[in-house]
This record gives sequence, C-alpha cells and structure tokens, in this order.
Amino acid sequence: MANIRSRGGQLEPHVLKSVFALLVVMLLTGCALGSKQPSGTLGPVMALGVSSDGRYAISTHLSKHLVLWDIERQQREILSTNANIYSAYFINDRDAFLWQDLNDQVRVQTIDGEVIQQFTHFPTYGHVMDDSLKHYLASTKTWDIYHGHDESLTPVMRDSHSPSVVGSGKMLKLRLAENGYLVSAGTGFGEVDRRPIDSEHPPVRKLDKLRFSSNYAGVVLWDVNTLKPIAKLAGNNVKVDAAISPDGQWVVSGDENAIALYWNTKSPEMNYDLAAGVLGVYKRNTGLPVGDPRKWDKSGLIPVPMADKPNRWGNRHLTTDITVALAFINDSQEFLRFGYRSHWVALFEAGNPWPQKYFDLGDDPYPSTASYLRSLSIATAPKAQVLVTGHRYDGGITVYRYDPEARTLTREWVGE
Amino acid sequence: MLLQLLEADIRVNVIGHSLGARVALTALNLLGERGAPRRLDQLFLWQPAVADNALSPDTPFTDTPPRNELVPPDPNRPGREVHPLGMGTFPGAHRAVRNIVVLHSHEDGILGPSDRETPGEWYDPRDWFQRAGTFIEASSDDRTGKLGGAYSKKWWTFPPEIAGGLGYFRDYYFERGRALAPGQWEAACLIHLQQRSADDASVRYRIDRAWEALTRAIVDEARRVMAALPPGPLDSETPLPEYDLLKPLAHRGIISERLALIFARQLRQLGQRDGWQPRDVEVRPALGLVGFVEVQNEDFFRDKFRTNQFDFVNQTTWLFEHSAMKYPTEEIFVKSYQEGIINRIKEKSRFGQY
Repeated sequence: MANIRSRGGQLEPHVLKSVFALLVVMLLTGCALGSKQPSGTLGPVMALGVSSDGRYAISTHLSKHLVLWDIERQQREILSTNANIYSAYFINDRDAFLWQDLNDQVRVQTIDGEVIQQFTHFPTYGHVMDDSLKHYLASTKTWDIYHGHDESLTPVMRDSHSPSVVGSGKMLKLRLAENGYLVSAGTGFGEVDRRPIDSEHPPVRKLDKLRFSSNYAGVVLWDVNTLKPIAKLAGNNVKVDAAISPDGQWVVSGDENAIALYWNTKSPEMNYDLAAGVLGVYKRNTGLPVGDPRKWDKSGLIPVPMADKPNRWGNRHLTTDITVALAFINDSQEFLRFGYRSHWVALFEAGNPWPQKYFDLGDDPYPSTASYLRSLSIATAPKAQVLVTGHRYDGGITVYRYDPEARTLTREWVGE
Repeated sequence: MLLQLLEADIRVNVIGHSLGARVALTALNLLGERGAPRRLDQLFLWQPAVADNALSPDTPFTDTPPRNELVPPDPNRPGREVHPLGMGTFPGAHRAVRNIVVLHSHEDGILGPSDRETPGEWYDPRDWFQRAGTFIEASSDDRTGKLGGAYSKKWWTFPPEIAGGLGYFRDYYFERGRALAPGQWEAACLIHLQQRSADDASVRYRIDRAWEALTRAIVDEARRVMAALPPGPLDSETPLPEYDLLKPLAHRGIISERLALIFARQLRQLGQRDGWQPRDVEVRPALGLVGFVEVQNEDFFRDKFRTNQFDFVNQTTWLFEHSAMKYPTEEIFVKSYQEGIINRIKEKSRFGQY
C-alpha cells in the first residue's frame, strides 16, 4: 500500500478505480474477508508468548503461521507461514522471541525482524531461553529435555522412550524463573514421582539403557546452571500443568484429576493443597472413611460462580478444578488457575491455598482452555499483569489486563 | 463357558464393546447373584451401550426410592429407568469381578453427542457449505454424534423402524396374553390401537381381567423356576433356566416371587397406562459419558481421586469414534496396551525396572 499515493498526497484516479473494484470483490466474497490475510486463514493458536512489558505477543498456529501481535497498537503481522506450531516463545526482559521453522531452523528474532541467533535443531515440542541467551532448553516429542544446540547439545532429562500413554495429547511444559530455576510438567504418577533422585534413578541414561517410562515426567524442579534436578515435586496425577513464579520461589500445579498443589522452592520436600473451589482444602491423614465431608476444610472458601439454570445433569457450577493451565499474573504474588473447558479462572495468592476471586474470560470468543495440547496457548507477562489466550475455535487471541489494586481482569483486545 | 474356565482355575479377563457390554454384564450378573467359584480378574467395558446406573443397585424392580432422589427429581434430568423391559441394570455383576474398567470417549457419536474440538471449522460462512458436505460424507458415527447419538434414542418407538425393541415385547405379550386369557386380551390390543373407547366399562373390565391373568402367570412362572433351581452356587454342568413370560429378567440370577410381582406390575403400567411408550423424561446417559467432570464435587469421588485410587484419563485422543479400536493406530495398539497397561503394571510392581 506504500505506493498508491501520488506526491501531493491525493489518490490517483486509476487507484480509486482499483480500490472500488476491491471493495466490490470484498462485498461479493462475503463478510469473512476480515479474518483472511494474504497468507491464509489463521488456525488456532498452539503456542504463545507475551513480552515482559506486555506490549507484544508471538504465536504459532495449527495452520503453521507465526504471528507477531502488537498489543498496544492492536495490530498483527504474519511473519511466517512455515512455523513449527509449538515453537512461539517470548524471552523474558528482551524484545526478542524464539521460534522454529519447519526446516528445523531455530531463530532468536527481535520484534524488528533482526535475527540474533539461528541454529539447526531437532523439531522442538516446547522450548525456552533465558534473558542472557546462554541457556536454551528444548523438549523432544517424547519429552526428553536437552540444553544447548549443535556441539553443545547436552541431555538434561532423557531416561525413557516416551512420556507414557496417559500423557498423549499433552506438551511437556517448560517454564523458567529469573533465578535459573526451571520447572517441567508432563504427567503425574504417584509411585514414580516419589522415587528419589539418585544413581538408581538418573535423569539421563545412555541411549541403549532407556527405561520404558520416565522417572521425571511429573512436576520436576531443575537448575539450569547445573542442569540437574533440584527436586521431584510429587503429588499430581495424570496430565499436569505447572507454573513457577518469576522470582523462582513458588511452584504451583494443577492436573486432570483436579489435584492442585503448591511448593515453596526453599523447602521443595513439602507440598500443600490448593483449595478445591467447592470442597475446600483436603485434610491429609484424618483416618476418616472415604467420602466423609469432614475431610475437607471449607473455612476460607468464597462463593463459586453458578449458572442460572442447571445443565442436563443438574450441575450449575461454572468453574472446575480440572486444571489445564496455570500462570502467574501479578509478578510472583498472584497466579491464575485455568479450568479445563471452562471460561472461568480462579485467582490465587502465592503461598495461600484459598481462591481469592473468580474471573469470567467470556465465551465469545471462548478462550483456549479445551485442550491439553494447547496449554501453551495461554501465557502471561506477570510484571505487566497481562494475560493473553488463544481462542477455542479460531485463530485469534484475547488480551486481558489485571489490576492488582482493584483485583479486576479486563478484556482489552480481541485480535483476529 | 466362564464357569468352565473359572472351575479350571484359569484367570479370566473379559472385554466387551458397545452392546457387548450387555452380554458381559448379563453373564457377570448371573455369576454375581448365583455365586461363582472365583471372581473374574478384569472386565473392560469399551464404550459400553449401557446406562450409567448399569452397575448400581438402582434397579427398576425395587420399592425403595433411589439414592439422592428423595426430593422430587428435576423433570429435565434423566431419572431411573423405570420401565421393566430395559434389562439395563446388573446389580450383582460387580460381585463376580475384581476390577471393572470403563472406556468412554467424548468423540463417540453413537453413545452421545460427539464433542469433537473442531479447529477446522473456523468461523467463516463459506465453510458452512463445506461443513454440510462433511456431515453428509461423514461416517455414520459422526453423523449420529451431531444429532445427539443413537444410544439416547434407544426407547424411541417412533418412527417404527427404530421402535424394534419395545414393539417386539408388546407383540410378544399380546400373543402370550391371548393364549392365557382367550377372548379378553384382544380388547387390550384394540385399546392400544386406539380403535375403541377406553371409557367403555365392559372393555375396561375385560382388560383388567386380562392383565390380572398375565400377572398370575408371571408370578407362577417365577415360583416354578425357583422350585426347580438347584441349591448352591452356579456350576457349569447345570443349564440356566428357560424363561417364558420372565424373559426380560433372564439377566437376573434369582427371580423371586416378589421381583416377579413388581415386574408384572410395571409391565402392566407400561402396557395399560402408558400404551407401551416409556414415560422416562430422558434416557439415562451411557456409562462413562458424563465422566468425572460432572461428579467432581462429590466427596466420595473426589476423595478417591485425591488419594490416587481413581485415575481420570481423557481417552479422546485414542478413541476417536465409537468403534475406533477397529483402526490399528499406534495410539491404541502400542501406546494404550504397552505403555498404558503393561508399563504401568511394571512400574507398580517394580518388575523390570532396571
């Protein structure tokens, strides 16, 4: 569009005709043209990152698009139509993001388009990089974690062939904290997650000595400086998501079996239950029989949002404890817990089991909470208090801003 | 056959798919109610076409009110299946097996509305034509899924093509009633066909007598079968009793006179009062369809999940339609068997860990 104006700033007659013809074409082709770009319709967001200042988001889509969203100007730009769908990741405190193309080239690229680093790598299923750009960690399809690339490629977690079938349809979530802590979360499995970190259960095995399933697929805390596990954060079951606070002090988790826990990383051997929205905090070792309501402490519960009419099973609850994602929203102080197939989120304070407030993200567009495979499509900029989600049914994003004083979450922009 | 295997000390695992669940549960219910030498190890109900109360004692043949329904049930909610021909509950089946696993998928379009995430259906009016085309070309499973699933229409008596189930019983009892009370049963038949006035006192008298005769015959049959039943647990040498009027209760191990009487009373209600059209507001959902989501706030379930005694695993990735096991995908044959079953057993037993 740069050349259509004449020097005087007036539109040339032939240009006017072209514009008119274009308008006719737009009318004839229907109202959906707005969602079309020269490079095609965007599929749903599979992975997403938000810049630390909350100004930009980067997303990769099922349709292989890589899109840079300017949240402040409410614009978007398609940067590639050949992107690894799980590869969008914004680097903390940088104006640069990570992505990989389908020729296996990983790029560290600035919002201005400058490529700072580029290297060939295995197809990544989630990757992260710290702000020094020294630590690059990526997961393989089978949930092995490697550090570095090319000659410096080092396995961090590689003890099995596969994440196990109950993890199918989920990404191994990797999240970095500013102090060099990394948390990984795949599938929880009590017996396995409680095994110690020792020479009998090493996180890395030789390729011909791999186990049939991993000892490290649950929630695990790592140190990227040593590339060793600090602690296995046991207690979750089946598909589990986790988040680490920006300062590295807190890890929070939630899973497919509605178990949600938190740890202070200073004493990672102790875990605590987050309250279930309706039932409360589970009291351990009470000796009470199964199903006894006295096993739940309800003292700090707040009312949960309810629908006006029950669904066909008589249920009026709008929230669920089945968790698809968690993300810190107010630096290291507060985080959000996203229910599976729910457009309601619960606000929690770090170190406090009780939900503080519930927010409705809205159902038009519906946020991308309906798939564990898309849990990376929910991302925050905790210091800027910005939340960005993909959409359940289309390729757009929705931007929300959290006000910690008023404790409100406001929808700022629906980018389509 | 199950009894022969159990008597020979052979460990038995049973897998039933769809209506096969009824076959398996009937066998297990007979074993459970009559007593068996040993229990089966595992019963896998793979997308079973039975109601969600199939394993409960919530049978229609009881006078006690259902649990949690002491208050009047919401008319919009599915209630207990009350008509007597459903053969839908197997209250003793759990006693004959150590463990029951139910597999269900949200993408099963036969047992309920399929709930597929459709990222391909991005909002664009021009896609609607394509979607309509996809619907027409889709497998019948997907099509019925969009219409709410075939299972939920199991008691439909209209259109007649789908009405097979109840139509069969109706004809059967008319034939048997005619034989038992000649000259009287035709009146009921005619009433059913709405060809004569039900206000006619003499017709009503004849219908009542016909139903009473049928009730007596049903109770007599129960008494007769019970008297012929050998004492002690079931064994493979003794054939199962043959039923006539009590055929819809053949999945029960022991049919007491009381049970037969309740059955007859409900049969009469169905035929005489309801014109063979079950009055259930809604069919109960298929076993597994509702899933953990709707019961997550029940103390009992939550306790079991919190202590890892129950695992809730979304099966949608592997069971992408009602009969997905017919397609040999890596997920089903390698992942679910090798990794989901064998490896988990190995992890728990610590066998082969090194």
